[in-house]
Amino acid sequence: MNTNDSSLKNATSENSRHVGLWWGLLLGAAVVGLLYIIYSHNTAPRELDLSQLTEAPIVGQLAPDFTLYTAAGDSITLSELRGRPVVLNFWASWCGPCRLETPHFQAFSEQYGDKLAVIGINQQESAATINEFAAEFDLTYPLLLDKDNRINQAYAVFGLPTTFFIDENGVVFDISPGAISQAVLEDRLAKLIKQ
Amino acid sequence: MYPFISLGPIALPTKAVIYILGVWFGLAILEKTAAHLAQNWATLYSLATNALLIGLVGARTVFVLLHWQIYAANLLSIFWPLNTGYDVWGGLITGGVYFFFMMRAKQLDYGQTADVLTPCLLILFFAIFLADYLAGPGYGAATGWSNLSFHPVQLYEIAVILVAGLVWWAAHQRPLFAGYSFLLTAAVVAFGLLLTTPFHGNAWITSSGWYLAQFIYLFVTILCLLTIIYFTTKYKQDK
Repeated sequence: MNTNDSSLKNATSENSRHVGLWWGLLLGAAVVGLLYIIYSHNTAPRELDLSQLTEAPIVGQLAPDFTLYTAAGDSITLSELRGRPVVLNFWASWCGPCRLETPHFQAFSEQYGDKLAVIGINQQESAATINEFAAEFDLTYPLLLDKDNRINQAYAVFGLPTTFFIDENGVVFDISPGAISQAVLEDRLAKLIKQ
Repeated sequence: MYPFISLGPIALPTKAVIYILGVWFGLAILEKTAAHLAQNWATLYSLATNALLIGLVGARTVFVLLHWQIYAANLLSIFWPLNTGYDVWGGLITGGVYFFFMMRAKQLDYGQTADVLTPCLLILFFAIFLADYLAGPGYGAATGWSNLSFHPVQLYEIAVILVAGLVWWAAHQRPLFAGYSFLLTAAVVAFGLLLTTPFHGNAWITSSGWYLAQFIYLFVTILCLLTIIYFTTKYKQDK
């Protein structure tokens, strides 16, 4: 056997070893991947222990609880709405984007009925202004007064409008700062109600 | 978690800030990688920038098409508001398709271009996961643990990207063939995301309880490894 034959044999052997390693890696990945997929399928989603959560206006935590009043004097407490998703929209009558998105909230409130609670929280305006706004847009969902801005601050609302999507457990699911289009609202609600 | 970054009286949208930083840093890395791998950095930089812009338009277009019934009633809402209403996968596919065809038109080598793009893509994914963690929709699945309520799934995904970055670094030092570091990195990312999928609180699940994304990730992993085997065998035979 001459030198060329020997180096060719070595190269062939190295080649086979390399390719063998890759096949081994592929087989390993396929087996581990499949076993993991089966394991994931069999593992039931864990129950959420709400007592572990704290109240904070951030995704994954409990939405801060509040009791506020409508212009007519009816009270609404957020925690009493547990069991169905809540859309919390912070708004004011002088806010242009708020006026743009308000009809969408009304439409979805009508469409989903009891399956969804749509609530508007005003920022420091009078009951008369809120009533005018409700009449202008034919709103039937509750608009709450926050005269001292306490709840706006509790939700760290930086600018209007801001919308919080809260799941049926009272956990913040998504936060949408700025104007929200009807399509985006539908998209978020579909995810919120599906989950 | 935190939709705004508060700098004194100024409140910046966290997601937008992270995306912009990700794009800026990703393009800077692309330029450096292209020069390092002796590729035409100016062409690649220009293509990547255009692909990002086209991807942005594509993300909006796909979202509009998916919700066309609503947009048809008010065509102006296609153009405003623009702060939300994008389909990430629509954007990635649109940008990717544009990049692929332009790569063909400019007769760039697929493998070498993919190698150059890899770190840039990793940084973009890093930015997407970080933005999702800090300001994004949804959260991880419930843990059932006393000290941690939800899985910080986006942090797991960031860990996958960091591991993939290390793999890319090692692979690009000793490439077996053009495109090798891209394929190996893609396999690591796909396999890592296969592992993290069940920790998503809102992952797509079939009626029989299977996570659809896991099958796609497994397919991508196997496809990348098979391609590596094919080219390794071919490269060794050619040698």
